[in-house]
Amino acid sequence: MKESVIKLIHTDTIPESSICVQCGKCSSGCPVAFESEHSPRKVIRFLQWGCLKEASQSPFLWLCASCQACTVRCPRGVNISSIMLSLRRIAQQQGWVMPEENLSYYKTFINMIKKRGKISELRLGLATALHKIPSHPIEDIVLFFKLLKRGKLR
Amino acid sequence: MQKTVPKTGIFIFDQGKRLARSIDLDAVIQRLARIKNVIRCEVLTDLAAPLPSIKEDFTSDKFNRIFWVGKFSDYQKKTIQSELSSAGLNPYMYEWCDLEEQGIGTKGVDSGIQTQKAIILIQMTLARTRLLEPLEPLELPAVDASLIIGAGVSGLHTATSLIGLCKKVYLVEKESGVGGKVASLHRLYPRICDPRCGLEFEIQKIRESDMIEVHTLSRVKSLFGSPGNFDVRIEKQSRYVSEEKCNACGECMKVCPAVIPEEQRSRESAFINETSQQVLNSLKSDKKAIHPAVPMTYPSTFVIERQYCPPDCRECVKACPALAVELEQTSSELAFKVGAVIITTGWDPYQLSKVDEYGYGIYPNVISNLEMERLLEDPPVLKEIGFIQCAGSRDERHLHYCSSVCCSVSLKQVLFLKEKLPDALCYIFYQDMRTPGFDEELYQKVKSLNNVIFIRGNPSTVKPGDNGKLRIHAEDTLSGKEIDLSLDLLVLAGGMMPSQGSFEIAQLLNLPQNNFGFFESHLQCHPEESQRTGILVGGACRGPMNISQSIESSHRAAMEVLPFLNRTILIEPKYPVLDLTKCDKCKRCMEECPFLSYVFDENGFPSLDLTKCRQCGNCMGICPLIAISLRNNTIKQIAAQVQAIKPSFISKEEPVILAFLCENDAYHAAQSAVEYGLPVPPNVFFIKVPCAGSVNNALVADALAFGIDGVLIAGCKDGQCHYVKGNQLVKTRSGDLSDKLQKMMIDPQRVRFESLEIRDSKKYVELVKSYIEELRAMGPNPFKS
Repeated sequence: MKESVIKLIHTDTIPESSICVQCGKCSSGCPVAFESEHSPRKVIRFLQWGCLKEASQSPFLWLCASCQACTVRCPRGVNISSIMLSLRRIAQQQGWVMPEENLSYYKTFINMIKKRGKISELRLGLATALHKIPSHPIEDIVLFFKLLKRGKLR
Repeated sequence: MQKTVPKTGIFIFDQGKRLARSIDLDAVIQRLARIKNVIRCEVLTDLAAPLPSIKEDFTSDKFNRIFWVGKFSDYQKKTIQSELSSAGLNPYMYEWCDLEEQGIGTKGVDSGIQTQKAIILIQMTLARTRLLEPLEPLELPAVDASLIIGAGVSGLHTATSLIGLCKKVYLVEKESGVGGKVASLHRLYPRICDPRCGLEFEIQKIRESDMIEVHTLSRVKSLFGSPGNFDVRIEKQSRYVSEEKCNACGECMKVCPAVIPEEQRSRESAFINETSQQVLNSLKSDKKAIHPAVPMTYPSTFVIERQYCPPDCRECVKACPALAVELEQTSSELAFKVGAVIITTGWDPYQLSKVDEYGYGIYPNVISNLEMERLLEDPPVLKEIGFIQCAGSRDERHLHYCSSVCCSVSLKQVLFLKEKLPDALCYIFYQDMRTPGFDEELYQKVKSLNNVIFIRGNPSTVKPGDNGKLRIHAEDTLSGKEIDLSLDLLVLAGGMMPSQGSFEIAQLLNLPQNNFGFFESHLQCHPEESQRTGILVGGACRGPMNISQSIESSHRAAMEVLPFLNRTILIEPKYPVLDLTKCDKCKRCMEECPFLSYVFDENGFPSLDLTKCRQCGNCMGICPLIAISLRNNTIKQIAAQVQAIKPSFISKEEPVILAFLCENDAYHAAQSAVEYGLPVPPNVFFIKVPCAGSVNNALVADALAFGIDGVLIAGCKDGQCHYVKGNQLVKTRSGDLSDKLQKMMIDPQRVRFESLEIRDSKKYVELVKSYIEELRAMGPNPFKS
């Protein structure tokens, strides 16, 4: 099981998870863990068991703000933040992303970069808002004017 | 020395006719009797009867060296030794040759081959016996005093056990009083006693003894010489109070105007509330500039910390009724001689301000576990208290190791705190609770208390809360629930690290330290021996340990130091001797000696400090000019043994292996392989060496040049060598060796280095078998005649 995990990814970050001692320092310092039923510690624990699929399906992955608070505090030196990024990529490649996750923002962002080499905030905002079905794009309209007024949309 | 003709008596001891069953003893005797200078050669079946005649022959000077073949019990060996030494035979003038351990008598091997092998084995030992010389142990003059550096709990216990044995002790301490870290603790578990009580008990013994000199406020300035004769210089800082006159009446302290300010810690006033003010107050000390010795009041003389004195203040001088205050005192130096040194420099707490996420030094109510000991004497009213374990321990960024005592310490503190404040709510944040041995009882006791909550999970940060409280957010990893707490006091269980004194001493004495700065020693076999002979290490400067372990360790150090504390030091004649006519001052022996035993003499040649040498022979192994020989195991003797092997005794195609086995483990593996009746091939001869590192490349090249097909060098596993690095040295030399062999047109694959543990007898047999196969494939040695 573990070997297949290592084979699947080409980064060296995920095998690193085996040195984790589950002290919970990452979860207690995480600014977004309260939003998710999984904490970074649990995601790492899944990896220790070799459950790559379960780890990749964790909703926490898409909440992670990459603030690195966990990586900085980890007493074992596990690079948790980059493990989360690797897992996002694996989830995409393997098609393990749960249907309730809305990845339209990420997709639009990447597509834009691929197409033009840079992003236009206006287009990105519009595209994301339109993809946010069934939410209402109207909600963001107020925000749109505010941003425009301050010259934040270019 | 006068050259005598070597006349040898060979006695084959065949108890129960075991040898006669597997080899043709008559043929062996006939072959041996033809050798020149073999005076007497017989087979004995019993020891008691022929021993007097052997003794008589020896006294009438028929032969001057004796050589015993066969298997002897330890009792029989002792009987023979004592009988013959009473007749005047030097104990280094006889040899033992155990045919059975070399594989004679193994089932399934042709008797003819076995007889041939037995003859070769006896000839090997005979060649060696011819070169034996009578040796006497050396006696060097020595001093029977010892120096103990550090007067903490370990130093005091070492000192008292040595003065109990009537050995002179110099105890050096850098603080103004003895006692060390232990004196600052509140109570000890399990007897709930004050640690000062136990220390006072030892100090009382020191007070009464005239075998000890205690030097406080002192540091070792230099230490030269060798075990048995160390020259020590210590620097004694001025105390400003005369030790002879002061009777500790305390009049001076009443008039002293200077209070020593509290240790500088950035306490931001924004975080101070009522509780934290109380905490700060109870941690505050109102020590004056003149005060009794700290941590314990021994010596009873007061001490002045001059840097805190107001300028031109002479209040204490005026007040002292005994005229003991001497403000003009200067520091002095002191020199004496000691036979051995024991280092008990102990530990320092890890600097918790480095663990910045917990805010030690910023929030006044975040304290260390040592401060908690002080607070426990009179704790302020506290409602919610948190304990964070492993604060800085077991952490890649701080201390990599477990400090082994902090869990028990925190549990003890909770126990006492709950005794004084039964309503307090205690939270213990832990990664793993480590309570080895009987400390488990303490854990269970604390677990059964009300309002003590164990949370498996460490908080990430500490933030200021309302009212000067501390806000903590943690995940209880067992339930997966997140916890928000607001605490009055947070105790950080900081770890132990080597003391500043340890680093100073290590630099001064060139002592090896491990990655963490603790003194390096052979942890399993000689935990108290540093890698410098005559210098021992005891207590927590060797690694994190609790008080009882430190005391055990210090008593052990006191026992191990005894061989050096005599009027003379006896040195077995197994030490290496350097032939100066051959030496070209390449200094490789000096570099490779694991114990730094070599020093330069006045002509720039290496000269051996006999008392430092541990007789491992690594210098003999490295010397490129074969100028170094162990006295009882000279390189000539080994070379003679190698030359006596006839490599084609089985047949020309059959490979013959010579094995050099380390006598600490590989030799025992080979020996027990025979004892267990494993099928050891007859192709292998082995020679026992003190350490794998003592095998010189010249010997290996010799063996191959004489037609031996393969050479096996077997030593300990890495990190297990009794002589620190002998096995690794062999491997580093292998590069030189393969160059040499290639020049001789010999395949370097014919030499193998292996690690064998003492119980690896099966591995040994398999190793030999696979090696034989490999050599068969390689073909016979081109030098084979």
